[in-house]
Amino acid sequence: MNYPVWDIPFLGAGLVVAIIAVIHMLIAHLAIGGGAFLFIAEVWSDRQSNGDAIRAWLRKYATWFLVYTTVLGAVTGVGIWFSIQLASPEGTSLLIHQFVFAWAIEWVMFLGELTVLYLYFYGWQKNSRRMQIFLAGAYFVIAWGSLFVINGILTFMLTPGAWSLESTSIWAGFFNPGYFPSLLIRTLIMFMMGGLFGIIVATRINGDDGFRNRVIRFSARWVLPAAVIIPFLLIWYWSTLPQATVDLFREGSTGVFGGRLEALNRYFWLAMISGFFIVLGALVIAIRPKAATTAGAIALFLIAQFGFMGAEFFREMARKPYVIYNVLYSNSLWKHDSEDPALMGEPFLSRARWRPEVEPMSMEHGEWIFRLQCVSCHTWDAYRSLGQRTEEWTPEFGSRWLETMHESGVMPPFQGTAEDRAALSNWIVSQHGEVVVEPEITGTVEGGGR
Amino acid sequence: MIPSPDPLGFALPPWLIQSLAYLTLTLHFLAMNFTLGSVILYLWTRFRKDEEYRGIGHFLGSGLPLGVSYLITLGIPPLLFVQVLYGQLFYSSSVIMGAFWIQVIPVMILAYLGFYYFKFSRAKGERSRWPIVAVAGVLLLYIGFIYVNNFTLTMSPQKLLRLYTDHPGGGVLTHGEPSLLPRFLLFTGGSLAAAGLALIWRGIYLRRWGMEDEADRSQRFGFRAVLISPMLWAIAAIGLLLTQAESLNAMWSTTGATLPLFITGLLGLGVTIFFARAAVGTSSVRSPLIASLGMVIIIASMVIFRDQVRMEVLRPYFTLSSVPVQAQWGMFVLFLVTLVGGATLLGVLMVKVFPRMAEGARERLEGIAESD
Repeated sequence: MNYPVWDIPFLGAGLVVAIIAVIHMLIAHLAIGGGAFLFIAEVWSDRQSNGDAIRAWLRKYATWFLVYTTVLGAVTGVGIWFSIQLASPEGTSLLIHQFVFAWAIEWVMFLGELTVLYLYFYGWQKNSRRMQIFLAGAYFVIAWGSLFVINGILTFMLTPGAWSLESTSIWAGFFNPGYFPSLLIRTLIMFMMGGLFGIIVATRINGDDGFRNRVIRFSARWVLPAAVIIPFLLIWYWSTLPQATVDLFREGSTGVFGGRLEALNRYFWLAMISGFFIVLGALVIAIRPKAATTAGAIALFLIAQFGFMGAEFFREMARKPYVIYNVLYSNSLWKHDSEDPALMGEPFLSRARWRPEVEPMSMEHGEWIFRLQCVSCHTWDAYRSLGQRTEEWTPEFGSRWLETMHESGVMPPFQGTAEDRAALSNWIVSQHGEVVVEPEITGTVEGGGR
Repeated sequence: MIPSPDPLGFALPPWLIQSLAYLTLTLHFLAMNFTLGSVILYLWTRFRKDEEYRGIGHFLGSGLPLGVSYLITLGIPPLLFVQVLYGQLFYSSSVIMGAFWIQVIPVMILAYLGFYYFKFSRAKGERSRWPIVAVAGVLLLYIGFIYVNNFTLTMSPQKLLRLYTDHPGGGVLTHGEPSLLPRFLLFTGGSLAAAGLALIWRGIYLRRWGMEDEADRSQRFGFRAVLISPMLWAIAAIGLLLTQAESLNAMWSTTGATLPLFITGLLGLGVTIFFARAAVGTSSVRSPLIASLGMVIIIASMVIFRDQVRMEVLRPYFTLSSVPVQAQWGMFVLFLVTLVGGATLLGVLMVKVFPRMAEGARERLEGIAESD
């Protein structure tokens, strides 16, 4: 095990990544779709008799858009990078070393979109109409280019396709099976976000109801392409998912009626139901724009935030137990190591760099295995609580469960010997207040066998 | 005890990745120095409560959101390249101080929002909210301090394991490293010079617009600010000599880079001061341009010097040449094409848009003068 594990209580490193990523994803999609919205609205304003009024409204749109996307969007984007370094340094290192120039190209796009946005915004009063329209269009094209690049890295983690550690072709990894459906789905969602943001700003128009209603209708129409086309794209996307993920989803769905709903399914339905309500809300607003209020429009935006939460958690859960599918487990242990019987026969701590000297079979032994193999995904008492999941454990049961946990499909195989399993199980049981004395520990080792 | 480098190796020969890191880190430090210097000088103009400095304060305050934006954006590629070169150390040190490292994000958001709030509330004519600028400036310094901590920690592999086993939650920041503060001062010391040079540039345009008095004030004030930075750098240099004499000596004996880099930095400093002085009272771009190039040379020397010291300190544990290279030349060329294409497009757009934006700035400035 190459890297230390960030042991952050209560939240867990995974949740830190998720919080930042969910916020960022919504803003990042808005940042691109909003660019298309600005471009089309600029062109539209030139064809309307009250073009100046439309542009005055667009100025408000652009002001909020600028602050929201450049402050929260840009910094949370960097934040994802910071948090994945902490949650999965091994996985981040692999992505950085494989895709360093894809990331560098994305940075060029980001620098470009930012600068063009500033030229558009700060040149508002002085630029010619032609220049403003060109800048809005250029902003959208460059921003979409950044999606074109980052989408390759995002989809690679779930569907690396023909890429492997033995055959590290960047193109095979980049244009992986999930690349194109994901690109198209995200593009449509971007248009939707641009429209939702437009509705919010349009509800603030005072005085001229006719004008307000026209702008609201114009914005609401941006939601429709996503509503119509995304269901078909989802079928395509689904066909690229790993079979194990599809199986897990199917079993989780069946389980709904039996009282069990896998996290994977819950997140999928959260995304779908959110999408349904957004489309429904947008339709109502398009038909009766007078009914649109700022609070209602913000509520739709917040529902979209829940939708992003569902979609991003689904993507995360669909990868389980991997961080890079079929290559690296979520706890930063390599799949190929778990397939090596010689390595699996070695005491785990002997190949872990980041741990103190501990007595074999001591509580510290178990605690450090917990830290190095479990903490990447679980906290003890809060997020994905291990304490809650192990309340009924006995040392013997825990030791046996650890041996076969990978058969559930969402847990990685335990790496280490029977002694390691026993030490971890004993430590877990001891955290519940059970006193595990030395003879029992020995008994557990003997019971677990090698 | 340090982790192994990534099994995928380097995507280019290390000297090329280092060059990209040097270039982009220099740009990042320039943007960071400009922003921090603008905060300090803006606050100074506020405390003077002298109407003469109102225009200067307005200029510096208005640039803060853009300054932060570019300091963040230009900070991305050096962070990318350092992860390629020294990832195994950087990730380890980041985890060890993880509780602080992740704070960079919310703290940066607060500072950035603060600058925008300040800018827009002032544009609406609301009373000045200088305390927001002060707080946001302190937040930026805090982020800088966290960064210096992390990168200093990457140079102490012998401390990493102990720090981690004592603080697995990442709750350790300072770790008794005596070179920490001199390093912090070295890289923030140029702030006043960077903001001062911006004021000198401002004076060039004001003079062209016929605003001689304001141009004089801006350039004189800017030049005085430029003169403060060398003093801060001198203190930082003495601090580094006292705390890192061993690695500097080792660097001298192995690469011989210490003296050439020091001399280059001094030459850059001389050029900056000489031409910044020469720019005062003129409307020609020649002197401020050369002074700015001098500033770039100073920062670039520091950036290279910093990396050379790091390589020297890490030599017993790890050398860049020990990592295999699996060159991605095709991707590198694609990156260069995108970079050149992007820079050309932005250059053309700026040439077309800037004169109009400058015209707007001039009208606003005349508005301020008339309101006086």
